[in-house]
Amino acid sequence: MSNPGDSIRSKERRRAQFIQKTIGEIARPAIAVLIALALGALVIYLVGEDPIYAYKQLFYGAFGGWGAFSATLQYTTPLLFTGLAVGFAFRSDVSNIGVEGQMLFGAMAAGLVGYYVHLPMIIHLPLTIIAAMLAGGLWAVFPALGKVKLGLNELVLCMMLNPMASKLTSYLSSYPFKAPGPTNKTYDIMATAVLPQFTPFSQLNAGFILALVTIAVFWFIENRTVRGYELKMVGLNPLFAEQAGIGIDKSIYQVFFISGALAGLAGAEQVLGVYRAYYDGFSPGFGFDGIAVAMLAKNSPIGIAVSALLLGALNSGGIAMQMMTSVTRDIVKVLEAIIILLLAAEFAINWYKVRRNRARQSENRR
Amino acid sequence: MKLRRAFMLLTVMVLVGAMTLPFGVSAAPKKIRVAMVTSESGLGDRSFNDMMLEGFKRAEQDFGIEYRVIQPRSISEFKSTLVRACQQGFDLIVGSSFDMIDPMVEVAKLFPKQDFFLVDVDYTVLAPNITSTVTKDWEGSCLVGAIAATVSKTGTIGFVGGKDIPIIHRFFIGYYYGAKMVNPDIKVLESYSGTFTDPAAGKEYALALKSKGSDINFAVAGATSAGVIDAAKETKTFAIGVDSNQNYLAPGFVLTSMMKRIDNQVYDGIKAKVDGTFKGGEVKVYGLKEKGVDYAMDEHNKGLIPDAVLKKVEELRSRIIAGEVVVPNYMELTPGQKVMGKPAIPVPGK
Amino acid sequence: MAQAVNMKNIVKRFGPVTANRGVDFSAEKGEVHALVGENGAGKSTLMNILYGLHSPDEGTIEVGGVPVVLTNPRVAIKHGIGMVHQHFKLVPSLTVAENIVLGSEPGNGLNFNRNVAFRQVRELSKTYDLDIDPGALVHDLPVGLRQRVEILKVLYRSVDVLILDEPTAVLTPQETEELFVNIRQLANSGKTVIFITHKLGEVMSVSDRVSIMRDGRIIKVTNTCDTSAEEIASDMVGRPVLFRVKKREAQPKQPILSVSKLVVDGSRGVEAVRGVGFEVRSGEIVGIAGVQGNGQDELIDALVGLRKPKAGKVTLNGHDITSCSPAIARDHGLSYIPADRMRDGLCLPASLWENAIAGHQRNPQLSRGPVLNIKECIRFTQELIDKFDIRGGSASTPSKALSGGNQQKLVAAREMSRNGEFIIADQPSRGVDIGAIEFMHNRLIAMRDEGTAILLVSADLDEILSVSDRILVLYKGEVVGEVPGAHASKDAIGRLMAGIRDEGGEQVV
Repeated sequence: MSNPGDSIRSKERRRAQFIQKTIGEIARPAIAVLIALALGALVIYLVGEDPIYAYKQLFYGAFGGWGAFSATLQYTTPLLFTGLAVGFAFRSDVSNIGVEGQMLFGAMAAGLVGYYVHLPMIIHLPLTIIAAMLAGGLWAVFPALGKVKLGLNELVLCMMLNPMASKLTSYLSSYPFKAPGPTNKTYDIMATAVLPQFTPFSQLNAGFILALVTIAVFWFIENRTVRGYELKMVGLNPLFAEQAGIGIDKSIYQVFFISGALAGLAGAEQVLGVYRAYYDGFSPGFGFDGIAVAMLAKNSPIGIAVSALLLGALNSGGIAMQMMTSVTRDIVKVLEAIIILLLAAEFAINWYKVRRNRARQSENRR
Repeated sequence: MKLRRAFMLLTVMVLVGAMTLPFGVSAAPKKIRVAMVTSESGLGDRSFNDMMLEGFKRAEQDFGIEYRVIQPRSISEFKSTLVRACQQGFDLIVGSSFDMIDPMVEVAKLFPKQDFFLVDVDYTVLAPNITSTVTKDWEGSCLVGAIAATVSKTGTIGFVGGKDIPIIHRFFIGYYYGAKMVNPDIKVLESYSGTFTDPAAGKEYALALKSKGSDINFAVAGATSAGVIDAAKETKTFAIGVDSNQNYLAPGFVLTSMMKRIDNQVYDGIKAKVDGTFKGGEVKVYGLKEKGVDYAMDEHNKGLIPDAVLKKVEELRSRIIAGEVVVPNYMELTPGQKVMGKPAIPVPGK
Repeated sequence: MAQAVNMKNIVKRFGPVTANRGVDFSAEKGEVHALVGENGAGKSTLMNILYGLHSPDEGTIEVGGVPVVLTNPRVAIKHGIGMVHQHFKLVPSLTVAENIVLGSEPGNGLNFNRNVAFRQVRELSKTYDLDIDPGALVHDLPVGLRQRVEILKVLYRSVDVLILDEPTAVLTPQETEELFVNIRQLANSGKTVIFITHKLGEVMSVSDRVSIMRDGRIIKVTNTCDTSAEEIASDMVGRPVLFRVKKREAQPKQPILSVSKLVVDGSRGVEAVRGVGFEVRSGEIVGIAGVQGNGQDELIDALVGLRKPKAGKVTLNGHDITSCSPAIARDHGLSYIPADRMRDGLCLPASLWENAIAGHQRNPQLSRGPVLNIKECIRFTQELIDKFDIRGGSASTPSKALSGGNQQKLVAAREMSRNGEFIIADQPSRGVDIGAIEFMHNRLIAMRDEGTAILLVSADLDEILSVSDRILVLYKGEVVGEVPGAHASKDAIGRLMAGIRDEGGEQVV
């Protein structure tokens, strides 16, 4: 098929395909969000409220004014870390759904190093953050060990390790390291380990900047480094990666550790920036929200930033919506659930399409 | 990828933004507007928060106020939620729980003209614009302890707490005190499931207590309590509910419920605001005397408690109200008295 | 004989690409008709049109002399046309019988009568002599039997014309033999079998007539007995094709790879390689012949580092690489063209450049320290595309967009450009058309002449014979014979492959 003019036409075609594909890829998550909003509107209507008014409040409550917006960013920050932790692992075909537990350990480590170690801020703060990353990363090595050494399923392992982490940290903050007072929490951290807050209106803190920097760093790692390339290949086709000389087992350990370290960062931000101490049961499930964020973003760091903001805005706007309407916070959960359901359905459809395309590969291959 | 995500966000923002265009505040007739900020467990806990809501409903009916329920997902959302409630111009913001003390005090400083009402904390005055309340749940617990100790056939009764935290100890000490008062030989088993949200754990703990001989278990564990009640039904023993009237959850197996009448506190707080008598910087106390706590009697536990027992308990109630009996408050005990399992507190004879 | 199907002047365009440019095709009742052509010649498109998967832009179709419009496969089946694709569409967790009747179950629509289904399938398999157990679960069946289920599934819908799309691509030689027997029986019972392939041996052995396609046109229709494989090959490619590659006498030098007493376990714990020893020297091509499943896969896996040998020793360039990871083996000069490009040869969702740099990524030319030089990677890939004539995409196209032949070229390009001293080429020309095979063989020989040691494994004996300088025959995990490539006869090697030693026809145990 080498007619004259073919190359020009194929160039045009490729560009057309690229545009089509790009639109298609933007459209689908956007459609998922729109469908969720539409179904949510129906629910709001059914409980007897004006959906347009409710959504107006939702939007205003997320972006209207610094008080609202700083709250949105505060709620977004932990999701940036956990979303990245999950996404980085998913990208390498490592299903680390143990981010919640890893985050709890990171938070605990931050709380302890933040209180018991006394050093000038310039050393203390980084040290505390590194301790949190180490704690999260080391806890994540357990599922990696199970997967590599014993061939166990990491999903099951993570699901079992999460409650263990939750009970263990709960114990630590309720007994050995408990500060006196009516709440189960550790002692307040030293001022030298505090991530400063930006505003009296919310608990938005320097952890947000740290999150943005982390996102940028991981964008670079994933897209511009040799190791990022190798891990991507491991994720897309481990057999291919292995024969090409990329060690799979080593990658699994590494990915789990890094993912856990990112989860630990999420914990550090909460303890050093928001609470200034480890509070028992502080997390409403940031680690699990991270799974939704990563799925919505298809694991890309930039996408994770956007979808974390979306979820953060939903939560923050949801609070304002409750103030102005009789719609409860559950509607936000419903919206999230619908988005995730639609994306999961999209995954299933894609999977089916891949299979079907494979079956049809003998045709129109040119 | 970058482009795709950015576009996605843009689409959403434009869409939602379009809805915002005709944004404006409607001028409704001036009603007193009150916000309820729930504790972490939120509405539907069949316990504390639901009970609080009852007070709002009654106030709405009686005073024509308007209220909104705001449910933050975690402690980290308390502060920003309170800030935004202030910015929305509610006349009164009502919160609850120890975890909300710090955020509310900070925000109260930020908005000194805003009135706050914080229920069920302790005796400390918080801020000039916060009125707080203390619920003497230890007094109510004392009464149900007395009931349990008299009704028990095995001579052993149990306690399933949620987390091992001081506020839950407060219930236990009252319970223990009441039980020992009516029967110095009674064994009182103490346990903490470590969670307020896991009925399965509640059931396990209740079954464990049963195996140690306990035939009546007081469940002070939020949603975990449901498991304790379930276990009672299964083993044909009794559970004692908490916060709201939980007798209906398993009629015949919930001996009674130690009700914290948070609804009354909320109702009173709103009433003060409506009357114009609300002033911050106070602590209000709700004990047996103020009808802040009580045990629940209704058709679901009819006949479970012999009249003679009830008579004795009522006697105890009047002695407490009269100040003849002072039930110890865990928070005021000395560290030596707080030893878990065997509170070294002086228990008077009958 | 009566015409079973007749397609006239079929034109089919996909966007700017014209796949069929006015094709006339007909098949007669009771014949086995081979449709051959290189990848991308338009064979599959034509047959998909006949099966109703695509509608033609121009042209008419007659079935049994009656014009029909085939809008979808259901309509095609109603007109008696069925198709079995290369990749099966069975439900693995259901039984054979359930799969066969799926979609047209006996019973009243609510009630599925399992017994009737079993009986019908049993009768069907008897009628066509296609032996199968109706109660077996499909996921327990080997590929050959799964294909048989697919064929029965089509026959169950009582079709007269059966289209098989490259049916042998997934089969072992034995399974292929059985399939050919079945195909003949079907034809004898009056069915028309249309058989898409680009393997000429198959055309010669099973078909009655052959239609040759090139560039979207049928350029020749002939009786199989009136033509030869060579003739068909030149028609397909459009120029004469040499079946034996031209090459000089090998000039082997020092040994690069030496294997001694290697024992490797197979997947099921049985010893698959049993004490194999050989050498590959610089400047020679050693071919490994053998029927599939005689230990070739396990041997290669062990050499590459994908499987740990149980005993024995492998050295490469003087380094002991026994039980080493692929990374280390590659560091010591190994290049490896895997047998299955879809499985581990390529990362299909990734772009061409991401595939091309695999194994080169830490090369200082492509990365500075930990940072990848993407510009350089793309330039490198473009070089390979030009040098190996890879068509169908640029450096940033996903590699799944390429045709099978071009994908294989990409794998070969990547590995051959590593300049390693030793290369393993496992089935380098599987699924590749004749032109590309020729190209691949010439590259291998050029590398040999530059001093590379080459180990060639192929299920295709012709390939082994035409390229190798020495041939080792594997049988049940042992090397049962070594034959110099120049004097090898197909017969002798065939006998060795079957486990029969030359001297007196003694059976090798």
